[in-house]
Amino acid sequence: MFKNNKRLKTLICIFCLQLIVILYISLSYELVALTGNAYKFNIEGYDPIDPLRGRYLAYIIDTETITSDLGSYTGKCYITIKQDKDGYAYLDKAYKEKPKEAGTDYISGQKYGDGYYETPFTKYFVNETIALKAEQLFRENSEKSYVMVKVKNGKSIVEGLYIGDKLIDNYFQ
Amino acid sequence: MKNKYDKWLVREMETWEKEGLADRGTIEKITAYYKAKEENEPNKLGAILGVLGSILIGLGIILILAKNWGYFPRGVKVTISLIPFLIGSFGGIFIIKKGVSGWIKEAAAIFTTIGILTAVVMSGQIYHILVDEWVLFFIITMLSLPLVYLYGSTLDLAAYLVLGSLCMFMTDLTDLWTKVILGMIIIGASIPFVKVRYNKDKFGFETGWCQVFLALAGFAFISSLAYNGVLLRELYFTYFILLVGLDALLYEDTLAFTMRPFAVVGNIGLYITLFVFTFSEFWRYVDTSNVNWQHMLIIVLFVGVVIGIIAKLITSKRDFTKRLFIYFIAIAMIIGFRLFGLLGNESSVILAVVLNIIFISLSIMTLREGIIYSSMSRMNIGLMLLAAITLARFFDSEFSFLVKGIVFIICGVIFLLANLYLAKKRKKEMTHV
Repeated sequence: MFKNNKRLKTLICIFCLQLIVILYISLSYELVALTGNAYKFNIEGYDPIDPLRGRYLAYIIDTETITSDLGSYTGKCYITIKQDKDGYAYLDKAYKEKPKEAGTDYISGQKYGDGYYETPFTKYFVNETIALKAEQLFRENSEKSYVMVKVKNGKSIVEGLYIGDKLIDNYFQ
Repeated sequence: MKNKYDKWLVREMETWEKEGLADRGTIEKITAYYKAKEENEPNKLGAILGVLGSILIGLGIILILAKNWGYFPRGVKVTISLIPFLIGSFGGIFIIKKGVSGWIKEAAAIFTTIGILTAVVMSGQIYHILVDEWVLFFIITMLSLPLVYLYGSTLDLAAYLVLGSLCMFMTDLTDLWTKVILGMIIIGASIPFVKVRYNKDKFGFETGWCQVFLALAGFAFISSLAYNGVLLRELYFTYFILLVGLDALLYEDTLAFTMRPFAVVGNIGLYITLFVFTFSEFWRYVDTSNVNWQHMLIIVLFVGVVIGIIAKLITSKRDFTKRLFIYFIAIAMIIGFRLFGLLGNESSVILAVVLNIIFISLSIMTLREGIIYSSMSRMNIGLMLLAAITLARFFDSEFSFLVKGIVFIICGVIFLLANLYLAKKRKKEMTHV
């Protein structure tokens, strides 16, 4: 299909392209981690396993605060973020298109029918050895738990899962 | 010349020489030809072990990374997640530069693909974020595609199609046309590779399994459209007809089934779907009100391809199974019933009865072919299909006792006649010997 020399050159080009795409995925998240706005979301959760990515604490962010004019629309949506008087963030309003108002942070999510939403923040991956202890700690202190989320231009990452003011991973060091 | 067929050939050649059917020179030429063939044959066990080894190492690395090394900073984690990809890629560049071929190339291709999967998937673990997983899998699938062509790796094609199928299954909430385009890109991009393999070695083992994976990816593609309410029953059936048609274009009808992957997948799929279609209960509650132009357009697209294939078979005077016409009548009828809103409480029975007749006719045709060609396997398949439909109707409460009774008597007569005919044929053959 290819002559060997041509194949080698093409393979090197393809390798560069693959590396750029893979690095772009990681670096775009790293950029959000470094420069995104930080929000604290209250959560509730439990502990399952992902076959590829390992153990995680699954949690839920309250979506009942979300309002929208989308009716029974099902599909991708963009949800704006606001903060309450205690400094905790909540999900405010869902839109079909990206919100254009300057300074408004939003995340992408899925809307199902009349009022069920799915957000990208559902899993906090933890080290295999501390997973069970972390789950127990999480259960016992669910009212003090929150995730720190960084958001920039609709892209978001989870910086950490906290119990009180301490990162959950740090309880077991 | 080690295997039992080669030993048989050696013995036969000795007889040919004794009987004067072939001279010494010809025998030596034949022996040299098979020896050279054997020497050039790749070490299959070595290839399987090598490839399996690289798959296991790749998966092992994923599991080690899945442990989640919490005490590493993010930058280190990202770098570690890139290691399998970098090892695979540099190993591959070295192999291509040295001109190494065989299983090492396959192993490098599959290891690099696992590396790409690891690097992309781990970003979700490192940043605790899972957004649009189908997009991530589409990226992984597309990044692994060039490796299939560059390494000429059939195993990597299988990995590519598996990843593509996973991607298509993850597209639940995506709109219909995005899914259609996605499926066409993923499957379409692999077709030239399968075509090249077919032209190189029509009956090769690797060509066969490329075709199996391609056929299964097509099935995954259609299944991915289920969420959008596409007419799935009709689409599955049309797709299996398409596979049988493709098989008729590529291979002769007289060739054994096991050598024709599209025929195997297509026929298994057709008989299973057609068997399910014979239940009137299956059609009674079908909602015909949700048929829209988008769904029809997709069906038309597939039916159009099937018509094109049949036209090509006719114009190129290919010898193909006439069952294709029966399948086509069945699908035209099913689509017609759905399109004209005929699937009500009463009318759905008509469709089920006609489909029962079609199923029984096809079973009898298979049985007849088995008798004509003295093929026990075809005859057994025909009898098995008849037995299946008989049993299904025996337990089916949808049909009256009269209808069931008549069907049973007809089937019983067919069984007896088939037995009688076969016994007569055998007797005739014995007297000729």
